[in-house]
Amino acid sequence: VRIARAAETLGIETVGVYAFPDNASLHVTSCSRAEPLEGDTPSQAYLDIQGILEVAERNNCDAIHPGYGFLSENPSFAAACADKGIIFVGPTADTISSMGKKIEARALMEKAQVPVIPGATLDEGVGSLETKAAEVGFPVLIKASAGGGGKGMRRVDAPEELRAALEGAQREAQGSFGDSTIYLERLISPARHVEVQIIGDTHGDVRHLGTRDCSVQRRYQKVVEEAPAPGLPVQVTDALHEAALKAARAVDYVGAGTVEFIVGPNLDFYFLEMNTRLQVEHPVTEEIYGIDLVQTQLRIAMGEKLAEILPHTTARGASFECRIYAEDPSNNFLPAPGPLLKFIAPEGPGIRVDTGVRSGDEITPYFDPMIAKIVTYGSDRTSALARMEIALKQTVILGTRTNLSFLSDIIAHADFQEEAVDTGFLAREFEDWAHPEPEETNEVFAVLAVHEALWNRSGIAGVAGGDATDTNSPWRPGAVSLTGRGSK
Amino acid sequence: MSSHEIQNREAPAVQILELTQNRAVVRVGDEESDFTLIPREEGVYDVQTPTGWSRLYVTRTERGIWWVHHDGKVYEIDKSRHSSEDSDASDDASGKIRAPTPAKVAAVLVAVGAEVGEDDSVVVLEAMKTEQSLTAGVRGTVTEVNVEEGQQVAMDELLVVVEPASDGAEDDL
Repeated sequence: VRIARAAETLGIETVGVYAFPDNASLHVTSCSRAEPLEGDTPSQAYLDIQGILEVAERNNCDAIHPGYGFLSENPSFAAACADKGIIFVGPTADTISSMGKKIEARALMEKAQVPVIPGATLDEGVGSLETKAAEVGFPVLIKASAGGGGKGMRRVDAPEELRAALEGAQREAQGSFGDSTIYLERLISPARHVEVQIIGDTHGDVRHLGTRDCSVQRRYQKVVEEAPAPGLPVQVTDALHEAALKAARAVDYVGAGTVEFIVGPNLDFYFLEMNTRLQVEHPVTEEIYGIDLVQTQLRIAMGEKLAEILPHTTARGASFECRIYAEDPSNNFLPAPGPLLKFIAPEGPGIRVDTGVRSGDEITPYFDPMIAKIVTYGSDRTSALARMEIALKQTVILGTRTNLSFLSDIIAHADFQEEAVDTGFLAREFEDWAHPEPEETNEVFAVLAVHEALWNRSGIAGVAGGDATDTNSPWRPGAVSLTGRGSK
Repeated sequence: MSSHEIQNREAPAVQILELTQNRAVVRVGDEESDFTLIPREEGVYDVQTPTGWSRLYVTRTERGIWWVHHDGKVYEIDKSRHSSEDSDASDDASGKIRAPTPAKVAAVLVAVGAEVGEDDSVVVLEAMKTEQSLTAGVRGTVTEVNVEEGQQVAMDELLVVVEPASDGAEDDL
C-alpha cells in the first residue's frame, strides 16, 4: 500500500501480487493491477520467487519493490531479479547476503572498525558452544544468523538452560528463515536499542538520516519507536552516525537500510545488525525529515543521485510510532486473529496511520498480526507524545482484541514521558500489567439498547440476538432489559 | 470460550423513552438525567449527557458478542450467556490440551502412553512466527495425540489428552 502510493506520486504504474486469502485486500486494490500467486499456504505463495518473476515479466515490469518482509532480505531474489534484467529496489544480492548472515556481518563490521558485541559462533557443534558461552559470559543471547526482529532469539542465564534454548531457537530459525544457523552474543544490560537510517545511491554516495530509538520492546519485538533517539549527547549521536556510515560503506550500500546498535549504560555502543530493507518504523524518520523514503528508494533505483533527491536533509521535531497488533493482552498477548468488524483510524494534525487493512477485513493467522501503525509528529518530544495519547484513544477497533490499552499505558508511563528508557523497561514496569477491564458506562448501556432496537426495527433479522422478542417491540417506548453476566 | 474473561457489571434498567431514525432518548437506571442519542452511520452514535457529547461505536460478532468503543475504551459484552459453561471445564486440570489460538503445530513432544508431569511441554504451536509451548497441566498418562507436526489447527481444537494419574499414587519416594 505504502509502496503503491509512493509510486503513484512518481507516475509509476504498479502491479501487485497476492496469495489467495488476500485477493481483495488493500495492498491489492491500491495497485494499478494485481495478479495472484500460487502456493499451498499464503507464505509459500509470497515466497515463490519464480512465480513473482513470471508476473513481473508478463507485465513488463522495470523494477520490483520487495516490501519489508518475505523476500526483502533474500539475496537469491535480488540475484534472480538481476538475472532477468529487472531492477530490485534495494541493495545488491551480495550486500544482502553478507548482512543477512549475521555472523558474516559481525566479521565485516569488525574489519570496518565498527564496534561489535563480544560473541561466538556455532561452527564446532553444540558441545563447544557451551564452553564458548561461558567465555562470552552469561547471560548470553542466542540469535538466528538469518534472523532479525527478535525471531528465534533467546536469553540464556545459565549453562544448563543452553541446550533447550538452542534447540528451540534452531527450530524457530528453521521455520521462520529456512536456516537454522545460530550464534551467541553477550547480553548488554541495561541497554538501549538505537538505530541509524542510512541511504545510498548507485553513484557511491551514502548518507545517514538520523537515529531512531526502539528500546520499548516486548520479548524483543518493537512496540513503540521514536525519532530522534532522545537524550543522547551530540558527540554520541555523531559517533553513531559515523559508525553507521562506515558500516554502509563497507558493503557499498545502495538504497535504504538500517544499522542497529546497542547502547550500553555508559553510552558505549555496539553494532547489532544491519537491515538491508526499509524497516517497519521508517515513518518516524520520514516525519522528522519531511521525506518519503519509499519514493527515495524508487528514485535511487532509477539511477538518480542522492544530491538531487534529497538536497537538504535537516531533521526537526520528534515523531513516535505505535504498532497496533491483533493480540490479546488479557491472554498473555497471544495472537488474536479475527474479524475486523470496525476499524476507524484516528486523524488530526500530526497524526498519520499506515495500514494494510480496513473494516470488514479478516486478521488471518498466517502473518504478523499487525493491524496498523499510528505515527505522530510534534515540534518536540512532548507534543508528539501528547498527540499519540489522543490518537490511540481515537482509534476504534472492534471485533478483534488488540494491544491498544497496553500502548496507551506505555505512552502514559511517567518514565517514558520523562526520558529515554532501556530495553528492559516493559519487562520491568509492565510485568504485572493487566489489561484493564473497565466497567461499562451508562452511555454503553444506552447505545446497546438503542442499537438493538433500531436493528430490530429495520428488520435485519438474526443480527440483534436471540433475546429480542416482539413483546419488547422497540418502536413502542418501553422498558428494554439488559442482563449482564455476573463474573464467575 | 476458554480464557476469555468478560466482566459485565450488573446492568441497570434501560428505558427507551423516544425512538426515531434520527434520535433516541434513553433513561439508564433511575437517574434523573436522560441521554439523547443521535444515530450516525451504521453502528456509530453521538450521545449527549449532562456533561457533553461523546461518540460511541458498536458492533456485534457472529458469535453474539457485542463490542462497544467509548472514550478510548473497548467493552466486550456477552448478553446471551446462558448456554455453554461446559467448555470451560476443559481447561487446566482436565488434561485436555486445546489450541488457544489458530496455529501451526511446530512440534509434538509426547506420544500415546507417555508419562507426563504437570509442567511438561506436550505440544509446541507456532502462530504468526511465534512459538508457544503448551504444558500438560496435569500429571498423568497421554491417551490421545490428535495432531502431527506441520498441521494447521483451529482455535479450541483438541490436541492432546492426558489421563490424570489417580490420586494417592506413589510418586515421590
